[in-house]
Amino acid sequence: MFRRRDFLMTMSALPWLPGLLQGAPLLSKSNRSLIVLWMDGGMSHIDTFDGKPEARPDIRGELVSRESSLEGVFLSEHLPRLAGIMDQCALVRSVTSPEGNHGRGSHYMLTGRRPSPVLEYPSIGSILTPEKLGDGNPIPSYVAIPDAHPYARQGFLPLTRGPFEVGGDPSKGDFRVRNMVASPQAQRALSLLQTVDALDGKPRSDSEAARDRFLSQARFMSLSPEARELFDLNRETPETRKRYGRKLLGQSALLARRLVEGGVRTVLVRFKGWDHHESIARALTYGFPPKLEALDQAVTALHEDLARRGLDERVTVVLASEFGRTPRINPRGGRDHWARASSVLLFGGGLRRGVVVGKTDANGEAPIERPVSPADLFCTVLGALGADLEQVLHTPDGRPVRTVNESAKPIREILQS
Amino acid sequence: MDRWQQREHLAFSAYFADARPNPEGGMMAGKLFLPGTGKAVQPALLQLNPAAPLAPDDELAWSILDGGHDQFGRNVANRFFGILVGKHLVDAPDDHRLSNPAIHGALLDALVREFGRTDGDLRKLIRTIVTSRVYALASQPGEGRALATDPAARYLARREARPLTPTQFKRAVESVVGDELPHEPPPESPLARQLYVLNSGLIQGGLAKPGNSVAAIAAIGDFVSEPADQLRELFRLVLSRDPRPSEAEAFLPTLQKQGATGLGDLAFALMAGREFGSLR
Repeated sequence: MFRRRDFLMTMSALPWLPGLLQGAPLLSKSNRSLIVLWMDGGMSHIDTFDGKPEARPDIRGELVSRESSLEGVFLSEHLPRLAGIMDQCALVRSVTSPEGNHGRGSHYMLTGRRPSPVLEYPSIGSILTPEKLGDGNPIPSYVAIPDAHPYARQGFLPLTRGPFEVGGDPSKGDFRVRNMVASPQAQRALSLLQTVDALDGKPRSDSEAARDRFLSQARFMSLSPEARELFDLNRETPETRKRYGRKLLGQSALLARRLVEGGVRTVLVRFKGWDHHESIARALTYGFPPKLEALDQAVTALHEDLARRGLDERVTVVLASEFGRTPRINPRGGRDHWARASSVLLFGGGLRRGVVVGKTDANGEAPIERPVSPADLFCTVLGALGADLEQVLHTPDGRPVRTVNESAKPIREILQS
Repeated sequence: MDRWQQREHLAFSAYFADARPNPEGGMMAGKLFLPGTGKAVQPALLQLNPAAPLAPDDELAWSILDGGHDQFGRNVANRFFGILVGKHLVDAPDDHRLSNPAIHGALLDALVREFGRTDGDLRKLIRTIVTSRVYALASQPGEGRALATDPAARYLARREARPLTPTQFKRAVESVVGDELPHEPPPESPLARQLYVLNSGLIQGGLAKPGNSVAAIAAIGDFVSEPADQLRELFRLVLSRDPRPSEAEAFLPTLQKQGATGLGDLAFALMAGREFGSLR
């Protein structure tokens, strides 16, 4: 039988484990981590980061915008804390895309490529995941909270580069990563399982080899208290948990911080519910907590926490969505899909502070300065992380594909030189 | 499909949409709404023939089956070809616009004709595909195969053992334990799937229920004294094949020593193994 003690003795011989046990980062400073706060559904740019206080009522909507700490940048009055730290962030207000459908828009933003019927492109998290994990690498390189968007997966890359989904709401009192505690029956049958695999011979494909590595990881995560602690928000003080906000986005952002601190390379936080075709003002400002309030609290807490822990140069944070929403309020009081203009907030490692890129017209319909494509943005984030933009990936049948779109150009204004 | 306008697409989609909750309470009167006016969209068929009248729901089915057009047939032929061969002729399978042609238009046309000729008989369509030369070609690359001499076939030599989809995996487990798992499908991400297999307790729970399929095999022991028979039945149940000699040699002592418990553990180990979790 494979006992926990035997397992830990084996694992402790590996060079990376002491770092993990001490909570030290496994990555060098040149290998920055990325947190993507994904506002799933299409976040209204006008009601968040590109307010139009001078526009007609049917454009500016019911929510009032106020000038932030960055001159000329108007944020919703429901984002007061974010408005106060804008001078420490980079804001791109001129993201423009031809993809106004949820799936296609998300694909473009998360992979830097427009969808293709012949190729499934990898997401940014999978691109940043190393090719070789090494047998038994204990923690996943790419984690999605609570789950991964369909286009935030590995695409044509091997399964080893896909996200690990924690599969639950970190704000719930009983939150724990699903199935992370070893079952007695599984421990009893592990030696039989090893025999089954041994008799099956070598893996016949990348996916089978990946499965073997994931089995090692699963065993480690099941049996190691240290690995479980990484995902345990109860290790945080009540004050810290409260500062982030006690609901889904806040606690997910806090978990993301714990994970990057523990060596995870990419964390995707998927915050659903931004597809406001109806009653958008009410949807953004009512509820428990109101959506904008949750966003305001979580993002500013993450910003402060990273700085306090000295992680602000090691972690890059991107807040994005698949597209913006229509400038004009529709008859149901909502805003529909609008890919011609949207806003993306960035801060942290590799990025300059207090920079605003681009500008939309008076109604927020389209960029009038410095239009930026999702491919440019993708390229910029990879640049901030120190990734090789010239790198060529290969599909399973050997087709070479550049990491970034050939026409994409990084936004130099926001990248540290 | 490029011939229709957005308004017509919306009207057709209204047949399939669910009513939405009204923010003010209750459900909304319509299902879909015109973006410009907010008015409810009335369900309507796409105009295949300018003279065709608007039809109620039951006429939709007749319209699909009347053979006067081939969109339904194209969709079915394309989907079944994709399911059986592993690659759709039109990909993405939902995108039948003129701007997304089939990778082999003549083949798709032939399948559509066959489907129409047999009055939409799915069994005959499937038979046509699985008895074709293309379907019989080996997809496994390697030496000693005829693929290298067949330029058309070498492009099929792309077989890759892939993990079962969540739905496939759930049904495969259910077929072994002889009971339904909870509605939620197993996770798709591979690491989460491994944790699910090892620790969710669902597989072991199913194997522990009285009367499950593995217990039925254990009951053979009441009538047949040879554990080899139980092992063979277990492999057939879980992996749809007989055990290899090396497997029989490795696992028979477990069955002889631990009886029904060993059988259950081995069933679990086989289900957690590579072979059960992969499409080969």
